[in-house]
Amino acid sequence: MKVGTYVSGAGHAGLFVWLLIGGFFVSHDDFDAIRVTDVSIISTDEFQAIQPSGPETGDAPPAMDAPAVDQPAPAVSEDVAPVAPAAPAPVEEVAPDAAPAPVEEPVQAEEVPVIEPEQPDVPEGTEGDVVVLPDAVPVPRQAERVAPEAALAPEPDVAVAEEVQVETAPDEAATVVDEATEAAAPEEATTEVVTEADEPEPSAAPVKSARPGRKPTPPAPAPTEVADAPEVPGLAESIAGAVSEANSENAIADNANPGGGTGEPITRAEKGAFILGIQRCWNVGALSTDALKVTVTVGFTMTPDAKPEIGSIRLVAAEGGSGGAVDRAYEAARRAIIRCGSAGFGLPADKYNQWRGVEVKFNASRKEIR
Amino acid sequence: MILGLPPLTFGAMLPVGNKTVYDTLHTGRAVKGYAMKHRFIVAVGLILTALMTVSAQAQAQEPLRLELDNPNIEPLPFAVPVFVAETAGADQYAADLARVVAADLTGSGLFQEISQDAFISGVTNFDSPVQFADWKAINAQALVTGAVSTAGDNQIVVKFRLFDVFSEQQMGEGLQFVGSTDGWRRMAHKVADAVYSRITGEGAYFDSRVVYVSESGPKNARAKRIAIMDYDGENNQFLTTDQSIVLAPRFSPTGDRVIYTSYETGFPKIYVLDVASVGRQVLQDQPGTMSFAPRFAPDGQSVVYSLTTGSNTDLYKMNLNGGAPQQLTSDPTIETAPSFSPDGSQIVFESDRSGTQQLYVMPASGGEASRISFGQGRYGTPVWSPRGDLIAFTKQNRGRFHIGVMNTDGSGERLLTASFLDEGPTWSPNGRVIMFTRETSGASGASTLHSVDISGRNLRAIRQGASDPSWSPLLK
Repeated sequence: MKVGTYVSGAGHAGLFVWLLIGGFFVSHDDFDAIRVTDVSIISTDEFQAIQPSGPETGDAPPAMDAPAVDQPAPAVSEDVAPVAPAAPAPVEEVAPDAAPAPVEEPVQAEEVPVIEPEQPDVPEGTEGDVVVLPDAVPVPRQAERVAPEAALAPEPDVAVAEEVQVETAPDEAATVVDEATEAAAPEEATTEVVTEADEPEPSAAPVKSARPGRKPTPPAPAPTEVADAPEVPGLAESIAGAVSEANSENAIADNANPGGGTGEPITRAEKGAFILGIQRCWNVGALSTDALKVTVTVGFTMTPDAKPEIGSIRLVAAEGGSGGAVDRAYEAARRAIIRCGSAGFGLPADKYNQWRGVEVKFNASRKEIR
Repeated sequence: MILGLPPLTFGAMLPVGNKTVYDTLHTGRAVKGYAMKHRFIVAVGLILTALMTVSAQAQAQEPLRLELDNPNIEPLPFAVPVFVAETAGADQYAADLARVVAADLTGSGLFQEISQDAFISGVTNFDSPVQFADWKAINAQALVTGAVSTAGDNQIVVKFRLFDVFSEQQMGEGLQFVGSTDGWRRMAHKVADAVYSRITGEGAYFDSRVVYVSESGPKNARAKRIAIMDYDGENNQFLTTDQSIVLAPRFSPTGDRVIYTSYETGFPKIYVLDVASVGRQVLQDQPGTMSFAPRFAPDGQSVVYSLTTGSNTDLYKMNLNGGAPQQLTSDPTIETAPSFSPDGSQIVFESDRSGTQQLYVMPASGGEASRISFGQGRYGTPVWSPRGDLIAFTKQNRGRFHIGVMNTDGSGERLLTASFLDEGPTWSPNGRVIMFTRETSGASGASTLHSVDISGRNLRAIRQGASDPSWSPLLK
C-alpha cells in the first residue's frame, strides 16, 4: 500500500516536474518568434525605388538569361531603371525613339519572361506599350512582388505603365486626394462661420472678452466686449487681491467721479460709435500732400455730456512730417473733434471715467491721395 | 509668512495699531519683538495700500485711446461774403474780388464754396466780431472776410482775414495788399493764395501765368502764336504774330522771359523773348541744323535743347551769356524734350534708343543715362516737378494718350488722364496741379488746355484753342 502510494506519488511528482520544467507549457517556437528585429517603415514608393537594385540578386536568373542578350536595351535599362522610377523623363525620351524597331524588340524580350506570364492580355498595347516598356525593362525582376498589386489592373500594359509612372500617376492622384481631403474646407468653413460672428473686431476680441467675465458687473449689458481692457495690472495679484478688499472704499471713491461711473469697461460698440462719430467729421480733402503723410495724436478731455472741452484739445504727438504739415494735420483733426463733438458723442454717462480723457490718433497716410 | 500676515493684520491693525493686538494674536511670546516686526509690516501694508490707490487713480485717468485711419477726402466748405467796400467806388471791386477769391479756391478742387444765398448773416464791418454760430449753421468751416478801399491814382487797398469757424479762431494774421485798380485780379489771386496756403499748408499757384500756343483756323491750316494768360485763362495777351509756326514756349525760372521754337526761317530755331518788352533774339542759329524743344535751367542762365545735325538729334546745353554749345548726348537716335530737375543736377528726356520712345535721366553735364520708364507703350515730354519728387509725362498706349506721373526713379507710375490725345504736361508752381493739352479727334477737332490735380481729380478745361502750355513760377 505504502509502496504503491510512494510509487504513485513519485510518479505524479515526476510528471509535474516534467510538465513544469520539461516545457509542456512552453512553446519553443514562441521563444523563437519573440525575437525582436529593428525595422523601419518606408512608403511603397521608396520600397519600389529600392527594389530595382535588389532584384538583381533575387529572382532575376531566368529573366536575365533569356532576353538581355541584345546590346543596348539591357545595359540601359539596368542603369536607368533604378533611377528611372522616379523620373518620367526616360519615358518621354523613349517615346520619340519608339519608332526605331531595334528598341522595341529587345525590350519585349526582356519583359516577356517576367511580366508577361502574369499578363496574359498583351494584345492592344503593342504600339504605345512598346514605347513604354523599354523603361519598364528593369521592372520585370521586381514584377514578382509587384505583381499582386499589378494584378488589380486588368490590362498588362496599363499595369506596367503604372509602375513606370508610379511616381507621376500616384503622386498626382495623391495630391488630388490630399486636396480632396483638404476639402476639410467644410470643417474650416464652420470655424470661419463662428469667427464671422465676431467679425467686426478681428483682433484681441477673444482675449479681452474673457476678462470681463472675471469681474461680475451688476449692470452688465449683453455685448460685453472690452475694447480697452482697463486691466487691473497683475502687480502681485496675491497682494493686490487682499489689498483691494481693504481698498474697496477707495475704489468706490475713484468711481465717485463727475460721471458717476461704475468702472465698467466701455464696449466695442460704444468705442466704434465714438470713432465713427469723430471720423465722419475728419476731412483731409484740403490738406497738402505733405500734411497727409503726417499722423497726429490729439488729446482732449470730455464733459460728462460727452462733448469735448475745446480748451483741452492739444497735440500729443506727431510723426511723418514737418512743422507746417503737422500744424495743418492737427488743425484738421481738431476741427473734426470740435465739429462732431459739438452735439456730443453719445457716450454712456455711467462710464464717464472710461472716456473722460481721450487720445485720438489720426492717420491719413493710408489714403492714397497722391 | 510675512505675506500671509497682512490680510489679518491690515484689517485689525489699521484702526488699532498697537501691540495689544499682537498680544491677542501671539499670546505667550515676546510681545515687544513682534510688535516691532509687525509695525514694519503694517507700514509696508499702508504703503502698498497707498500705492494701489494711486495706481487706481492713475488708471482712472488713463485716456481712452482711439485710432482713425479712414478720413474723408472732400472739398472744404468755405464762405466768402462780399468784401466790405470801405470807400465810395469800391463796391464793384469788393464784389469782384470776393468772386475771384472764391473761384480760385473752388477751382483748386480742395474747397467748396457755400452759396451766398445760404448765408444767415453777412459781414458789413470788417472789424466787427464774427458771428460764428451763423457760419457754423451752414457748415462753413472756413470764412474769408475782406474789405476794399480805393485811393487816389487808381490804387486800391485790399485786406482780409481768415477764420476757422468751428474753432472760432482766426487763422494767421490778416493781410493787406495795395495795388493799381488794373491789377485787382492779381490782388484777388494773392488773397486766394494766402488762404490756400494757410489751410492746406503748401504753396499756392493762383497768382501765376501760363504761356501757351494759341491756335486758330482749320486743323490742316492752323495758325499758331505765342500767348500768355493768367493761370485761370484771364488776361490773355499775344506775344507773337501768326505769320509763322511756333512751338513749345517755356517760361524762364523768373517768369520774365519765354523761350520757344519758331519756323520763321523755314527751319526750327530757338528764340528767347522778353515778356515785358516782347523783344526777342535767336538763341541758336547754326546753319544746316534744326534746334527745338528748349528749356531753361533752374538758374535761368543756360538752356538745354535738341539739335538735329544731319539725321541725328542730340541734346545740347548753351549758356545764355555766350559760349559754345555743350553736347550732352551722342547717340545715333533721337534725344529730345529735356527737362531739368529743380536743383539743376539732372536732366530727364525722351529717347528712342531702346527701340521705342522712353524716358531717361542723366546728369546735367551729360554722361550715362538711365532709363526710368518701363511700362507698356511710349513715353514722352517728361517734365520734372518743381518739388523734385515726381516727373510728369505723356504716355501713348493702345491708341490712347495719357498724362501721368512717376517717381524720379520710374517707380509709382500713375496715369491721371486718358483721351484721344493728351500731351505736353506742365507743373503748377506748387507742384500740385498739371496743365496739359487735350485735342479732340476729327477734322474739326480742337485743342484745349486742361488742368488736373495730381491725385487725378478735378479735371478742368481752362482755355479752348490753345496748346502746349508752360506754367510760370509764382509771380512776385
